[in-house]
Amino acid sequence: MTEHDDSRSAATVAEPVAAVPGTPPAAVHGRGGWRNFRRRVGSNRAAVLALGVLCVLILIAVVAPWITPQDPNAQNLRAVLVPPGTDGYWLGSDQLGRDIFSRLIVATRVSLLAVLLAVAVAFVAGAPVGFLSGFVGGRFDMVVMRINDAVMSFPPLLLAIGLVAVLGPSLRNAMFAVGIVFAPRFLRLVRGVVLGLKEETYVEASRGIGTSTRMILVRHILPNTLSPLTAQLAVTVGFAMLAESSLSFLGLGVQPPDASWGSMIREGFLYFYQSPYLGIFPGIMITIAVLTFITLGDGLRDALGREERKER
Amino acid sequence: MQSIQPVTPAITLDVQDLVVDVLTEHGWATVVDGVSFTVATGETLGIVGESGSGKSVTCLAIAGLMPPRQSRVGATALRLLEHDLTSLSRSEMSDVRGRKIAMIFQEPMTSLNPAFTVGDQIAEVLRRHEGCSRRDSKQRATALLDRVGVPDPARRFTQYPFEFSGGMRQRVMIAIALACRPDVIIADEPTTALDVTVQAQIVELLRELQREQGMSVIFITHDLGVVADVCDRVLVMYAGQIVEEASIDDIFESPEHPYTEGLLASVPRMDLPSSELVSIPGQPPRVGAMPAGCRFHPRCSYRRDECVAAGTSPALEWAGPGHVTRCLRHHELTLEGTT
Amino acid sequence: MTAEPLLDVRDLHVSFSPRTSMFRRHRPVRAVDGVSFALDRGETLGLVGESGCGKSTTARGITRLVEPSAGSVTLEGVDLLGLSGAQLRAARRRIQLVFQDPYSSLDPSMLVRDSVGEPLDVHYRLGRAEKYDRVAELFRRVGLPADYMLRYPHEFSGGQRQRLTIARAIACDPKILVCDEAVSALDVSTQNQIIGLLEELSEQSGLTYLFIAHDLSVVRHISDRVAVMYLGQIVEHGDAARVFGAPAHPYTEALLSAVPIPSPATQRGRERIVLTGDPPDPSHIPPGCRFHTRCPYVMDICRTVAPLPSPVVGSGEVACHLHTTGPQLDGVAVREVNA
Repeated sequence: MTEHDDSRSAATVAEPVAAVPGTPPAAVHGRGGWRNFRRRVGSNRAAVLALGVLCVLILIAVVAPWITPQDPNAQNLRAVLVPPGTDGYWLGSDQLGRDIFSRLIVATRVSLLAVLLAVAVAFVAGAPVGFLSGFVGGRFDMVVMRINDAVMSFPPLLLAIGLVAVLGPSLRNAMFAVGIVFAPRFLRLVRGVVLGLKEETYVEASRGIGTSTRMILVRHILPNTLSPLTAQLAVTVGFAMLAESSLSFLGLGVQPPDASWGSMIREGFLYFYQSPYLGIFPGIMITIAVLTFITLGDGLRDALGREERKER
Repeated sequence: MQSIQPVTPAITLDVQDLVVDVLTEHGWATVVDGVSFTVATGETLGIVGESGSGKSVTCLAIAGLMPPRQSRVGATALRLLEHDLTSLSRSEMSDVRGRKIAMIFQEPMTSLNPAFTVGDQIAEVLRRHEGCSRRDSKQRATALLDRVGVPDPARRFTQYPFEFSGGMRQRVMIAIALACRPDVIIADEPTTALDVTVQAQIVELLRELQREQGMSVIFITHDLGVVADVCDRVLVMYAGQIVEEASIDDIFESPEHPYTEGLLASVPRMDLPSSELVSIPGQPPRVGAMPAGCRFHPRCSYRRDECVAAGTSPALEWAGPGHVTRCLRHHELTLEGTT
Repeated sequence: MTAEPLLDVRDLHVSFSPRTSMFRRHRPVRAVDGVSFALDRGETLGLVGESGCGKSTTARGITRLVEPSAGSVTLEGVDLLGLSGAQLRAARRRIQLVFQDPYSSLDPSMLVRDSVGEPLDVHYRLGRAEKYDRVAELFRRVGLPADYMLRYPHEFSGGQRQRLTIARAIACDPKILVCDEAVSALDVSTQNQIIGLLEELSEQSGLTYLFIAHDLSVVRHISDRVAVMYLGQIVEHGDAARVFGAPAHPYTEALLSAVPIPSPATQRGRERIVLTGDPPDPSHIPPGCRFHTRCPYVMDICRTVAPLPSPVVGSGEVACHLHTTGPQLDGVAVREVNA
């Protein structure tokens, strides 16, 4: 060796502070993850916009009873099907002379709650079973997946209609049915994620340390299933909203005189030629809400996604 | 910036002042900064460097394979025989890439399409670039498989990539690369993913084929053993620049750049009794955060104030016949090579 | 030599039964087929071989990350294969693993402080403050600043991540560290830094290593003894200097000759043995000597009778008919066959 060794060797010389190319040095204190998350959500303008719209929708839903300019169910047969812009009826009135604007506002609450119920049912029915199925594997997994495939092979709306037919038409039953229809998606997703995680070296490493199975589940597998799940939740909300509209449109969801966006479209359908706006306004609301949730879901998936492995 | 002209008259590839920028999350960053070199006909040029040194990007840029919107490639000259590669359209470039320049990558699994048989993939290249008929291309493809040492080529022709081992897949990649008798083969870490015994086979095969067909080979690798085994001349890259260029013997026996010396010293030798392992301290600089002065100075044990000073970025200088280095102190330093 | 080795592996077998599909029943793969070796306190045993030879499976079998089908693994007088549940988890404290891929061996969603401290949670009941003090101390021992504790794995380079996994592995003062290709994914300079760290740790606390790698140069450097595996069996073992200097098994000889030496002059003068073909598929193990399909010295007896280990002059054992029947090498280097 040469005389320069002293300055060159020293095997344990710490590598310079900024470790990975392209990553700004993170805070030494505090959880860098939240900052990262915010940065990545923040860099996705569409997701930020969607988040804003969602907040507005939720706010409307919460304060709905106090902000409607008129009683949403009050009929006025002297002002039937008045066009938008008429005094007292910003967005016009329906066939019974009810204020569309007020109905849209209360329908926001109904629709959002309904969707929440459906997604909660889907999550509770799907995620834990998927988790177990993925983790246990073997014959149990095989049986669960066959049943799951069978449920998934039904046309979703038809299955929901069938379930409502058995349970009786009401918004709650309709959304319960929608939840059941969506449950297999969660099951499949969570199972897939867990299967992948089981193979990760860090799970193996943790076993090698002597960690018990229960601890591995809690520490490594559960936290890492959350991010894809969150994204799936948001996307499912969008689809559930469409399903609610469809079921309400068929008369299997919300019952008169209450309004959801879907039921408003159905009622408006009969008068489509006289006053198309009866269907158009709730249609616009549904479109906005669905787009919001799907955009948010995409944004969340990107933001919560694993850091891409940097090239060696 | 001076160009380096080898003694050999026939030049297959001439690259002058190649600059490649890529789009990172913090904007444009230069990853290859003024690389110039030539490859003579029938020569094997090695490009070595640590990961992130820009060696792979250099070759992707030459082959026109950098993604268009995420990268910018510029050069004062980029000539392959009589073709000026900078003036070619995308479709012309794609034609040149099949017929004149061929590439072999590290991971032979992902370079082959799993949905087609191996034979079809070779035959397709022949049909597209050479306008062969179906029967003709099949015949030639089978012959190629035979030439690269795939046993039972007629049967193997109809098999899919997953039925091949890593070494056999790399042979198939070589067959595809050879299909149109290219003038230059760019091999990017072609043996890194393979076992040593298979690596030796592949290296031997490439050597034979080169002798037979007289093509030039650019061999990118981080394995100095492979370099010593296959290359005629070596470029050492660091932080997007060439820091040293010399013939294979000069590089190993009398390096003129401290980085090269460090690289050589850090390779454990299998043929010698074990001694203290030496490593270059620290890490290469990050893209977009190049140190002022000499880019290697933060890790260099020979640095002086002049190496650190901004604005004294060293240029490539002659250190001997066919030997250039990017070190301000190369005249005063005597560096150690391998024995 | 102490009377009782620290780790004694006897006749270890691990087999996998591949997924049985509805239409085809695959034969079980005997990945490790009767492996025996012993490790003394403070020594380093290198385990080498090509991919698929069962070296990683051996590591996983010893630590029971996969269940061995037969054999015994005795660590300080306790047979690990006889333990179950809580006992096994407690025993794992004494034998720890470092994996190849530093990118996937740390949970991306956990602060590195918690990853490194995980063994402490599992094996000790410590208060938060005490635990973090211990983790900070571990960071210091592997050469990382303690203020990196509140970061996530993706903020670290490959070499730093490997330091983190080493810190995690030594958290509970294990007796043995099984390094499964622990430096293979790193650049040579970083690789040397990590090897330096491992050597330092061994000097400080008498850590014993089972060092598994396909890079023979690295193995020669770090190992006191070396075992060479081929298709699930150890074909030769002995002191590193003896195995590398005078290989007694034709496979070892070929393996060594396939590694290119980073010195053009030396490399040009070497005699190379290029093995033909790939290692056979472990689900179709050839009868007789497993290496006979690729062996340059193959004899009739090799095709039918499996060779038994015989002593080698100098140190260790070899399983090859050349030493017992045939030309009667009687434990000297294979190269004497031609002499």
